[in-house]
Amino acid sequence: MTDTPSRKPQDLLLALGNPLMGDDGVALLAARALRRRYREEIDINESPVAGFALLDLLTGYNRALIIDASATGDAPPGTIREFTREDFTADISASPHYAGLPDVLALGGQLGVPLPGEIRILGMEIEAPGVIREGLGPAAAGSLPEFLRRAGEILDTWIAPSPL
Amino acid sequence: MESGTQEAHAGTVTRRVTIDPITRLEGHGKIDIFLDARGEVEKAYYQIPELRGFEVFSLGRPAEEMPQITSRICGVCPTAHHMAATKALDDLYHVDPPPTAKRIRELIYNAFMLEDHALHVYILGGPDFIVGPDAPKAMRNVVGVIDRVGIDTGKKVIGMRKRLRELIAHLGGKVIHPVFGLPGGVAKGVSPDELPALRQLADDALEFARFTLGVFRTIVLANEKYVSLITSEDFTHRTYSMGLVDANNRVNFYDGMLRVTDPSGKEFTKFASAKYLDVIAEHVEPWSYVKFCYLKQVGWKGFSDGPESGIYSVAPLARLNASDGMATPEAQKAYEELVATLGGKPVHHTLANHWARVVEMIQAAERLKELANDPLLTGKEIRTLPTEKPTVGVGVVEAPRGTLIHHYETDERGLITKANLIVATQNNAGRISMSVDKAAKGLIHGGIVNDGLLNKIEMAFRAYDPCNACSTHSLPGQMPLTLRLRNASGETLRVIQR
Repeated sequence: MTDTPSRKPQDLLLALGNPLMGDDGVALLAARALRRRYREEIDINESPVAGFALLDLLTGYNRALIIDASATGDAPPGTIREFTREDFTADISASPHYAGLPDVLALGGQLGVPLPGEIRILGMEIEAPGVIREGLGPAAAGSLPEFLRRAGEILDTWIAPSPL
Repeated sequence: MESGTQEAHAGTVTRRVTIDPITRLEGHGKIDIFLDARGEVEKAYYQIPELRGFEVFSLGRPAEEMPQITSRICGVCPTAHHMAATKALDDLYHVDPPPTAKRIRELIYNAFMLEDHALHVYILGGPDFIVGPDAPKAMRNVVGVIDRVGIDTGKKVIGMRKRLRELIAHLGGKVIHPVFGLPGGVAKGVSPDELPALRQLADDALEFARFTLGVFRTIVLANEKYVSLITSEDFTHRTYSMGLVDANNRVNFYDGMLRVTDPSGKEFTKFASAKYLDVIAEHVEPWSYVKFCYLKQVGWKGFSDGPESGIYSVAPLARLNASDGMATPEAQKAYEELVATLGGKPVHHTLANHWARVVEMIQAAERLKELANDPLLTGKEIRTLPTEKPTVGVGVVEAPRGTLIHHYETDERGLITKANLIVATQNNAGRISMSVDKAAKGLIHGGIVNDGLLNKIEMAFRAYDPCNACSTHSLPGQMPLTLRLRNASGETLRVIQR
């Protein structure tokens, strides 16, 4: 490794979502708002990718906050929940199609890929996944400020206090 | 968490078993298995979710935006949508891209096919064949695959995948949302300075594809149990096959004519992609919103195989069946080995798709090498500018999972008035449903449903690498396999989650 003039941030905000699918893009909108406040200290990446491409995005960071839409169907749209890495690694299984975060983390760990030691995951439950449309539905739009607040709370703990 | 055998109670009502294995990550497909009073399978359905709202979203938009828009539909295969849309624009504006542009497109496309296939062979299909259907559940995943093939092989797979994605990003502008495709050509050429690295990558890619065939031979083909599973009647359907072929009727992923062969292997029809509506029709079942594609000239005869049924298949094995062979020498040898081992052509064993995928990896790598050494790749002329008014455009490519069709119509300003997509999994929907039904009927008896049986039923559709709609990512990011026993009035009798 060589020294570079400006140090690359060690922390990552990774927003996942599809910008064409209504609520599915909620985390991308959140990232745009958070970028203004955190872009100096934290790498902010908006991505629509699935599966093992996540490995590329997470590699090399110390800490990562993943924000995403969730469609578990077991909470009302707009509900914000935090998941931990452990929530996902408990039961990895064979995917019929593309791999999820647990598989990505398991594979990375097994192959010695330098993945973040701390991964936090914030999800907002959405409605009507899989429909191509523009804009957020009312529940997701109503919860967006709280989503920003919760994400900001996590990112604030990662940023060293600014010197006076 | 519960696992093990579930015995249905004897009763007089039809029971419904729902396997809902597919999280949002993969879309929302599910399997419904209806058991009769004796616990025998009456019918099993695989429901593939359909992307909704595409046409409405597209109306009134400039056609030139379609390669960008459609590549954003799917977080898994944006390159396939981008390329099909770009080819549809060529057709729409009546322009033929210069030879250099065609080569650049094909180079990017073969890199994409190789990368996507490698991931499926090792990671996604791996639990079925590298680890094995009867392995303990805890090992039927990526961890089990790496344990079996070794960490060095795992690193090789991830490393090659990364380099191929970097190539796509470098030549295509972006890997996630490629921006290189324009009507009549590409946005960026290849400079001679880039050739040494490109040729090195192509050499390494071919070496990697050869290595993969070796892994497949050692782990899968050397195991008689696997080979007999591949050839078993439970996983066999004698349907028509469809795929793109070149002028010599060899497999082509990027361009050519669409060819259909009948269940005996004879050419049934061969047509330019613009004529697809003359050949393909769609059938809707009352229990599903999914449209099942079939051959118009044969007709819809229900979920059955044979020459009388219009159901056809796409994806790697169908491409091999629909062609007279591979377009490159080493892939041709690998193809001949497959055909000879599995009893001659056409091969109708669904699980042979995994092997066909390896054969196609070799062709993609060889083609990459040919293109990297083609003097026309670095030509300066990379675009034919459109001069005619746009009308109707159809673009077809072979996506990793099979034939992908984009069809746009516009007004004279080039604004979309009609848009239609047929994605690979829609082409395959009839046959996938048949595969699930047959596997369920062959494996479930007396109401006994256990993990091993569910694994094998999943194998029946996983071999097709189905794309379950185009949702993109990650939460909850697991594959909960939920099995519901329901009575005829819809009450859930018991739920098993594993």
